[in-house]
Amino acid sequence: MQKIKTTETVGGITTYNTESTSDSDLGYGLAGSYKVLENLMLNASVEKAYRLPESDEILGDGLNISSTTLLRPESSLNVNIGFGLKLFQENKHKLNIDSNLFYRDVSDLIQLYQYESSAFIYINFDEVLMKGIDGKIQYAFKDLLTFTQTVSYLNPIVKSDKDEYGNDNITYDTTLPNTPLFQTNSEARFHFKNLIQKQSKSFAYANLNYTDEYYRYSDIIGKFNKDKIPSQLVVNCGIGYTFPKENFALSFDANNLFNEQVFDNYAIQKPGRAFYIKATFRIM
Amino acid sequence: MKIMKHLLKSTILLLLLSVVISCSDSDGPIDPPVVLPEYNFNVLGTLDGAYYLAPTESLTEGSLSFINNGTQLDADQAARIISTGGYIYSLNYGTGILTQLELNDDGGYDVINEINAGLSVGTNRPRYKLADENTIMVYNVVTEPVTNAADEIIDNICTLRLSTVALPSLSISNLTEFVIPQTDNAKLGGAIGYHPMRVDAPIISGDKIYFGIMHLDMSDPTVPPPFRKPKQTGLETLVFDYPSMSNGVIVESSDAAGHTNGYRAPSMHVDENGDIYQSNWFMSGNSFDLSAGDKTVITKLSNGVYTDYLFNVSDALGLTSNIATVGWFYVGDGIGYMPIQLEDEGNYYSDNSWSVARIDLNAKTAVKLNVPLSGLFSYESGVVDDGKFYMAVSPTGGDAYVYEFDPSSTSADGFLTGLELDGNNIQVDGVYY
Repeated sequence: MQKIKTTETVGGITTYNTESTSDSDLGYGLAGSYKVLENLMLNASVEKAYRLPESDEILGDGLNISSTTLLRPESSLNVNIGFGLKLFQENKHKLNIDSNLFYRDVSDLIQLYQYESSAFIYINFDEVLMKGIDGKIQYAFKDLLTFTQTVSYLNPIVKSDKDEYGNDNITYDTTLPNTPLFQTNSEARFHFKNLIQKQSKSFAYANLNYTDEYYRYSDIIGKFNKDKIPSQLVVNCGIGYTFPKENFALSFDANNLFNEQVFDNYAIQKPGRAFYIKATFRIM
Repeated sequence: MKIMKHLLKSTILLLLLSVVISCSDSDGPIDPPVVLPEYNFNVLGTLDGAYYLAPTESLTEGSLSFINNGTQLDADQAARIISTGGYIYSLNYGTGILTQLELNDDGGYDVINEINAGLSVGTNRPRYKLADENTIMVYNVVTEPVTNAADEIIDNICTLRLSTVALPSLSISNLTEFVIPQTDNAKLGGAIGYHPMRVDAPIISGDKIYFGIMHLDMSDPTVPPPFRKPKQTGLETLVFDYPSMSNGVIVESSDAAGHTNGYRAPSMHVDENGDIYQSNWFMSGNSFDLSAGDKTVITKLSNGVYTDYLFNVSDALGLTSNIATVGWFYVGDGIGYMPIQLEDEGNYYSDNSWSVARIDLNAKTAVKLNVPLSGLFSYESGVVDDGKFYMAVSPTGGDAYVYEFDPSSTSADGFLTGLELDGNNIQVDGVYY
């Protein structure tokens, strides 16, 4: 049940109204795993999920975005099928491979809609079908080194045959714009014992995060000078040291080492190069 | 090393082969020369807030699609286009960057030059218009609230900042500042009267330049512009001596009411006699009080003042629905075409509620043409070519075309469909030379 107060001012007289709306939807989830072999696990899940509207989506911003009681929850049918494979577990070289195929059928997506010049409201609009794959390979050498590689590929397709004004949608059945489609992450992490001091533990890591370029607007419209969110390669690294009594640890992290310009899919910039020093004391 | 040798051998062989092919070619039939399309016009399309410009050979035949065609224009909020002297000028409304573009052989546009046109007038959302073939005018009204001891807004100082951009060099000069007075009429009504917070559609005739004005209730800065109440009575125009930009005065008419600045379609045009014809903007859904009975009219200004000419377009059309407009296009010999919003057909911004009327300034007649209803609130440009008027009409759920209007025909069917457009949800906002 959502309740909001609205005001309306006519001829200098303000009236207040309480409006309420309620919605009930049945969601469900089912997940299972099957151990095919000692080292091979199959996973599958099905879920009917709802996302409730956020408060600012219902209430607006009091300025350009109007409040609404008409928003319904966003709904999606999610199906995941995956496996986990563990190899050479007794060996000093260990290898884990995990992969997951997913399918998400999203409807009633909550989106901002412009109904007057400079005036907006959130509405339920758009259907998107997303298929994709996540993969992860993890290699470990004794307790000294772990190397992790993840890959994620998403193929989101617009399935709305009308636009928010009721026009036939020319971008029906094409790639959803303004969404990262391909991302990878590589990380190498080293662990040392008894470095400098006996009983001490230390680690060092380097991490590469890559997001492939993607179009800001529909990829089928226009030919030249199309807005692209450029590919982003972010390098992070760090070291850490835990002193022998384990009550004091120091770590140093450098994020976005090469000061790459990074943003998310709404062109909101994220921090550039940043350094962090962390000291941890344990009083017990 | 082996690989390198192999590569070298292959390259030499390929070169020899191509020489042989070239030799034999010269004896055979000659390849026809590549014929580049002769682009004569440009079409502006928009989808989901992105703007695209594509050239076309013809407005009367064939088709133009923006699917894998056209150049995306830098447009933070909108792109506004001027075409003159062989260049396209695109203003990024939202950053204030003015880009000079030139059509290339691939059907794209090369960036020739770029300036921040908004900077000189203090905004990233300037408005601009071609003043003459060598000058673009860029302008903005800066509104500063005046508060009392209790920090309440009691007045606003509205300063017009205006500069000129020389073409094709894109050099900015002649910054003019002018505090636009609030007329006695504008002081009436609203919490603190109505303030001249926007000007647009400047037009030059003789030694005068005329700016249309938008007046809104500026008492509460938290109210977004679409919800501010507009001035309900009278028409006002700002007139300067040109080119000195001196002796700025506001001239008034009580023949009708509304804004006089137009939107993206211009509200003012100069005819062959140097007279200025101006439309008013008085529209349902824009907080105008239609019960006041005001109509859509064309007024005439001459020698810097309103004349007693009045053309009541609403009455001349004689429709059952109230109609409104934001601007219109002049063809010549007193004939113009006006996008008209039909109040009974829905919201002016998001509905298929607009048609096109042929208007005759001399005979004071108007006829609604039988083009399909569409959304023309943001429509910005048509083309007059060989005596005909061309504009795009892209209706919701219907087929979209560039229409050819015959100014000599007074028939409601005095038009032909020309260049076929995408339709669907691609809206075409303008055609240009």
